[in-house]
Amino acid sequence: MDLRTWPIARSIKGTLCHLGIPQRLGDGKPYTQEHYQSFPSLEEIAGENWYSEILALLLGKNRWVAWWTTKRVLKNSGLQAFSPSKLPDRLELANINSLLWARSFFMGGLLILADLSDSDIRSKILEWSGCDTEYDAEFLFTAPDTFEWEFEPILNWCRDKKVAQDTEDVVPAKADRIIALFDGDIYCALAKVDAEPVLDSLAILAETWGLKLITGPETYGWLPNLK
Amino acid sequence: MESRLFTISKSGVNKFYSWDAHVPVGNHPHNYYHVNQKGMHNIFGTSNHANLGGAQLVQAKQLRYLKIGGRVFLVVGVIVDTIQLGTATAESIENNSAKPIVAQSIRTTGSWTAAWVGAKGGFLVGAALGIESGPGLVLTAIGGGIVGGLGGYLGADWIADFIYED
Repeated sequence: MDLRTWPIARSIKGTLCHLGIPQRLGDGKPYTQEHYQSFPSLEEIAGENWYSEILALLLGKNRWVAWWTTKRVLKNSGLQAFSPSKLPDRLELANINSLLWARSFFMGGLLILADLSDSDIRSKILEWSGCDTEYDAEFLFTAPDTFEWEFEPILNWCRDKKVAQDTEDVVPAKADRIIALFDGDIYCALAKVDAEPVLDSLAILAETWGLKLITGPETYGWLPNLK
Repeated sequence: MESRLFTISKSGVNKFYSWDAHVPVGNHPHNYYHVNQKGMHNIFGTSNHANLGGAQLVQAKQLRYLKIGGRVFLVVGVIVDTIQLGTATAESIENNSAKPIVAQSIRTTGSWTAAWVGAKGGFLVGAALGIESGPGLVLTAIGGGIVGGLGGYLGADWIADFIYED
């Protein structure tokens, strides 16, 4: 068994490509009880920053990110020190000047809109995204600067676990990319044309860790059904 | 986080280490008793979703039973305190005196507060004794809680008896 292979799952859904990025190495086949534990984790191979390095790559050069997370994470991350403005239902990204916006909801959940051109905010988002996602998925939505962002549909999508499979409801009309963080793994839904450059970048990152990118099981391309 | 048996983390730091007890939620075929962690592999030497085995598995099972037992005792404690406070209230009304309810409130508040302080104290004592992590600290905290709760109840009862003997 070659333990130095990192299986990135790919699945196609309409105009979108889903990428499933696992936290452990693998042989490209679905994990089994017998051999899952024998594959080393990326933390062992690449160090504790492996997660934020992948996220930085997936976020790309987009300036704005909307991050669905929890109030606990906002508090612990220190982002509250940036005194976030209250996030309205709709925002034209080209016309805003506040660095951080946030809106929390009854029954948990918080949507944060953050300006990644601020290096402090960017580093905190990269540090705290996906900190502990075994119970609740987190989502990062990206959009270009020219976007007029409507948050209500995004919020409804985040809050309803049953629709987490319906990525085409969000991309490309409401965001140009969804990054989903669940149970320690990273998933990304993006336009098919954008997938190859991302995979190339992941392959380069894998090389720096001494790994070879291989194709993972198609069924691991996107989040499992959330309960 | 209901299924977590214990978690080690530090406020303001995005790293944590915990033992968890549940069936897999994602694509990872791990055992019921397993590790959840991020950023602490170099300290504990285990990856996220690593199965617990050997002595750790035994300890994890014991912790789960203690956790379930703790919940049962909590519910029983609340029911008993509610009955006692209700009885004391009735007595206060009957005797036209606040003393029974005040005395019972002291007993109830004293025992719960001392149990909490005892648990914290047990945790600190465990740490001072060199039990640095994991279930050892949980057990010293539980021991402290039992000692504190009992001591708090007896102490509060002694004080409350000066107001109204039960």
